[in-house]
Amino acid sequence: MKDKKQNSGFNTPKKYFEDFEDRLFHKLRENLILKESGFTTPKEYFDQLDSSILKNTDTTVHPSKVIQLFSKRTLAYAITIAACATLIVSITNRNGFVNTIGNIELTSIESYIEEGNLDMDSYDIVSLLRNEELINIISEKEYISESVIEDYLIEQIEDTSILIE
Amino acid sequence: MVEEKQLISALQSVELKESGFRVLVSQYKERLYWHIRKIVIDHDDADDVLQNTFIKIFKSIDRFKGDSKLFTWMYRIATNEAITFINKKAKQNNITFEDVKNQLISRLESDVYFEGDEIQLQLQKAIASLPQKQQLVFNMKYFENHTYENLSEILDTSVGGLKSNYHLAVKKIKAYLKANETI
Repeated sequence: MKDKKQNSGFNTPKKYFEDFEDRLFHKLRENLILKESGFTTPKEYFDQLDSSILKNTDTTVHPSKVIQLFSKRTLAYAITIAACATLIVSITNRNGFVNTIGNIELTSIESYIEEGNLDMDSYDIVSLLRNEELINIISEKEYISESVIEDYLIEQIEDTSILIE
Repeated sequence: MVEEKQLISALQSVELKESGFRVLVSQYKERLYWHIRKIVIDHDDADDVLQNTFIKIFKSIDRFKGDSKLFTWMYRIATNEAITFINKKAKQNNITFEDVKNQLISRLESDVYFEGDEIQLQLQKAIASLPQKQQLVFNMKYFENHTYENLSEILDTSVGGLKSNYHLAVKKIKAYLKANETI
């Protein structure tokens, strides 16, 4: 297959084909080296990997320890607390003290909550409120401007990306 | 010239791969260079594409199953690399393959690695005006003297299709040269 390149008019730089191999092998090495990370593994690592993973994956089911929800000791505590509460209520009622939320000082309620004594979620709280009180809370909410809510959220929420969304 | 079978078995063995590859490069570098050069026109581009072609050959030689001749397989890689190179240029500039070729040909007069006379320059311009497939077939048949059977394997086209491509190309080139009054 004879090339008629002499007729095409194209030419190459002097010694192009003589130098080509050196440049090609240099590029090939670069190419092959750069594609390798340099990290290696111990001998036969991948051959043994499967069995070592399976060994560490214990699939046998162990019977779980069952803790009784109501132990005798818990029951005794509950009865004691209930008895104490009844005693306190009966004493305070005898002294003519009317036990309503309205009569308790606001600061006392706050400190009681802050000390972590109130283990209630918002649904529990709502269930304690009367309908009129709930309506009042909702109507108060309407007076809070959007900017106030926004400021509150910016101060209170760490991940502000939620606000941007 | 080393026997093809011998060369392939050397290329596919770990110990002899590099020495076999050196033989392969020295045996085929010129033929592949001229093949690529006629597609990409510019010498530096041809050099880049030729190097990438050999790197690809080196990396994929283990997968060569001998379904075709080694040189046919290498020509196919070289053709794909060269066409991909031009297509990338076309895509970057939002123009067609033929437009890129025309741009490259228009720079030939000032190219230090083009020593053709006026007729050769006009011939290159005429080739650049052909559709991509006809350019390939014409260059490989006219300049590189491939047989239609070889071309059929390299370009994965029937011999009949190649013959009509070549004759159409010749006809168009003649018309181009006549219109430009160089013959």
